[in-house]
Amino acid sequence: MKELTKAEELLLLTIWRMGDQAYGVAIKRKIQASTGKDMPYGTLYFLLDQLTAKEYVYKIAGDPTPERGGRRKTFYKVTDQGIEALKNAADMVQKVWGDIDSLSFEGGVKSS
Amino acid sequence: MKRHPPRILVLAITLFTHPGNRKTLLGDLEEEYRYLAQEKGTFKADFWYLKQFIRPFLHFILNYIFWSFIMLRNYLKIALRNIRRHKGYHFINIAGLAIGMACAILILLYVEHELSYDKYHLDAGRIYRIANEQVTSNGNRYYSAIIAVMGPALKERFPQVEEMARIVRIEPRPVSYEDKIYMEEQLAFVDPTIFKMFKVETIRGDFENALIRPMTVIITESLADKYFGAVDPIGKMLVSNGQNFEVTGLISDPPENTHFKYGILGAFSTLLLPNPELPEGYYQSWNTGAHSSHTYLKLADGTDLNQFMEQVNALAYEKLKEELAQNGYEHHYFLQRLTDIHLQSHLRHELETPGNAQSITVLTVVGVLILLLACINFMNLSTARSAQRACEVGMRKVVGARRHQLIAQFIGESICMVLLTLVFAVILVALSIQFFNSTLGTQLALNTLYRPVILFYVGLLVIATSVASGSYPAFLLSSFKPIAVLRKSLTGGRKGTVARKVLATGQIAISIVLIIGSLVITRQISYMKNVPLGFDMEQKLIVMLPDFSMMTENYENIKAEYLKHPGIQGATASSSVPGRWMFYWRLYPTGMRQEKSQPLNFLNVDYDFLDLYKMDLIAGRTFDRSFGTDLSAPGWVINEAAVEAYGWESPEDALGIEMMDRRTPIIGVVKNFHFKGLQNVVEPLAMSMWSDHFRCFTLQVDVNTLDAAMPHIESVYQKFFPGALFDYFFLDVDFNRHYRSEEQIRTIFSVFTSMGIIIAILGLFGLTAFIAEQRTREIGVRKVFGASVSNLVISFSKEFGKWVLVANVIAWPLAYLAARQWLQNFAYRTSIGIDIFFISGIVAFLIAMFSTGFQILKAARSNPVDSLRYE
Repeated sequence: MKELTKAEELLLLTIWRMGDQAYGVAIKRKIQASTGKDMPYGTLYFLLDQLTAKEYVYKIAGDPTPERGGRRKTFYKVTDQGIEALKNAADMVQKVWGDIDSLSFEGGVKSS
Repeated sequence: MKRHPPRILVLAITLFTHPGNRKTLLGDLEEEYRYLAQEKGTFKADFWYLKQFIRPFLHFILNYIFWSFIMLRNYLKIALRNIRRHKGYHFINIAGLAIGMACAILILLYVEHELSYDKYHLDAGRIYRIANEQVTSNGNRYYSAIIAVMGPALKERFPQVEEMARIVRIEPRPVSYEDKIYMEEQLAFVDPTIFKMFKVETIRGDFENALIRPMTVIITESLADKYFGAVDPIGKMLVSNGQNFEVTGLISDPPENTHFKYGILGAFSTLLLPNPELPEGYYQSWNTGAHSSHTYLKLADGTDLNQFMEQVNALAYEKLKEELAQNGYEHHYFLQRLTDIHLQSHLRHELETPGNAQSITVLTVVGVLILLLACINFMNLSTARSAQRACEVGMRKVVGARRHQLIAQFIGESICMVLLTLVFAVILVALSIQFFNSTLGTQLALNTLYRPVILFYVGLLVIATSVASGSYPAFLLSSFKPIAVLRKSLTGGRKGTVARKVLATGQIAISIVLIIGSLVITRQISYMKNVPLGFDMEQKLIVMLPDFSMMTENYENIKAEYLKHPGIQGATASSSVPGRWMFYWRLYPTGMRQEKSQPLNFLNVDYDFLDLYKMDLIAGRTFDRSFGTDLSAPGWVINEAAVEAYGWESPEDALGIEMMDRRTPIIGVVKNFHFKGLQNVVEPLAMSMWSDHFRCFTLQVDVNTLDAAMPHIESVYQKFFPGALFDYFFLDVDFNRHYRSEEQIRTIFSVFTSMGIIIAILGLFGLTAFIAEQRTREIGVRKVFGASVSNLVISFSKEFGKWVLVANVIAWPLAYLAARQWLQNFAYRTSIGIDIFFISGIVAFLIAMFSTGFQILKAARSNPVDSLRYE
């Protein structure tokens, strides 16, 4: 099982949630909406390529549309391995966070 | 509303994106652009689109620069450490290359200067000099000057001739202003059109009408300074030969790189005034046969030269028909490019001693050889050392260096080294340029280094050297597999060793060629100086008389006065002396003008001339007072070459043959003597005794008592020629001027040869040091098994001895061919003795022994315990 980075996890989850509508612009907006930060296309496509290489997502070519200057959209869909990886990630988070009842971090030591 | 993002940006992004995602990305960008354009306007959208392009791009560049700096710092550190660790080796390397480069730069400056002659004139490519060829039964003669009327006739007849200018050089004569009198050598009468032909920088005066009126002159700045000092020269009168010349203009001194050097330019029209010394119409008639005028033509663009010259020759033929019929020889005219004159034209009556194309070739070859030597050195040592850096390369590869980075590192390092060397080389040039100038009589200046041509070649040099010396480590070392390099550590490539041997052998071969070259040159010069010339030139002081005519009445008196002094053992007079210019005269046996006319060098001599010069008479007699007719109707004394030229069987046969229309007989034949330098064959010569043409007084003096005699000589001169400039020289000194250019070549050649040898020694020294160091362990093992120091030295020397032998085998034929080629320049030449080859071979051995011996001995004597414990 290949590890997922935090950014990859975020992206993969977003794609999964978007279902059939996951393509470049839409993903970017969605991420901006959920995180409040702009993800440059460079980063976005780098991560998408990583995910594709890990076979967690696959590409489907869409129809050419006029608003894209006649170019096709590339839709991304999560593969079964991708879903597996997401589950694993969620499990891990669950395991690490699970037995903490409330978010009271009073025991923390301030880093100087 | 605009619907597309700016096309240029789309294109830019297309260029810089990976093809895999390109289309999708462009689509995304355009979609978002439209959305933005709708919401916030086109301007904001454009800006956003631009940002999409700029941000990653900037990021990339900054990253690149940042990491390059980090790497550069590392490369520099390693390079500096390397230099510090191997100081001696780097010193040898840089010193050798710096010397070689300095030599090459000096030669480059010189050659460039020689090739730049007359290129600075406007339209220099369209300017030609028209020269003359005379076809005679006795071989062809070429004149750089032609008859004066030709120029204007061409200008008038042919529309192709845009501009025509003539130069009439006159022989050196004293020029005076008030009480200042100097001998002026650069005198010429020129057409006013000269300013349209040549680039002459005017300073003051009316140049619209300059040089039109007769008896006017224009002078150069330095001349004006000499005669007039701070006074304005315009309108002043210069006096020469009792005539007044008005100065109407002031011009800059001619640059060094023109074949026509001028001091005083007189109006051509002056020559057309009646002149009692010359036949009437000398400069206006077709039939004078006088080659007086150097004639320059500026031809229209696209003129067909062959066709033009055909027309010119047709015109000349028509005009000269009569003369041709009389003399029985033909004239041809031909064009010379202005820019070629300095180096290529060696005709009679050149305006200036032509440049030495031969010395350019010799120097270029020497320069290339030395540079090659230095480069081989540099390469050899660099590659030898770089084998030790295989480990570094392996290490770098392990931590992730790409091959192109390694190549860049090594090439860059060698570029830095070569640039550093260049700095030293330029310093060397600056220090030695003075010596070079004084030896070659050139006027090179360091600031010519900035000329684009020179910079171009120097740049080429730097790149070639650094690529050549950096390419071995760059390409070979970087190709090694890191594992192999790191495991085997320090074996060095076998390939490199072979290459190094070949290069070192080549280096020795070049040194041998240089040594042979300088030996041959030295031998030829001493041959020329020591060969019997056929006359005695020792201890002769020549006094030049100011004028032909002044001599006649006073001649015997002057001679008697001179002989009064005990320090003067003999005195005689002549029209010229050996080594100086003599004029040609077409002589023919009486009544055979057409069939047997021959151009002979002509010399007028006094009774005792042949005795004083100790010339050998092989038939007949010399001029003799006891024959009363010798004064009234002097006969002829000719040389052997003349006998041959006329086709007479023996010298005795020539005696009594009557010459010319005066029917004066040949009374004697003299053995050939060299009245020109030994570069030339002895030409036919005739001597007669017309005392009104004497120009030189030869005084036989004793060098030991010369100081006492000198005042007497001068006072007699002043007594008979009051106000004239006392002009004198020593015959042997004057004669040896013929060999000046050879001696210059010799000096330069020997200096460069020494430089080459130094470079070779440095190289061999460095290389042996390296090899000895590499073989320390081998030596140690050998010693342990009982080899003695002498065994080791011999076995090592054998290897170098082999190189020297091979180098000799390569160098000898090359040097022989080159030497033979060079000696072709001389009519009388020394043989290339086999001893020269042996001497140079032995010298090469000594050099090799000297430069390798020390290191070998040191290695052989080292204690095996130390060498084996090594590591």
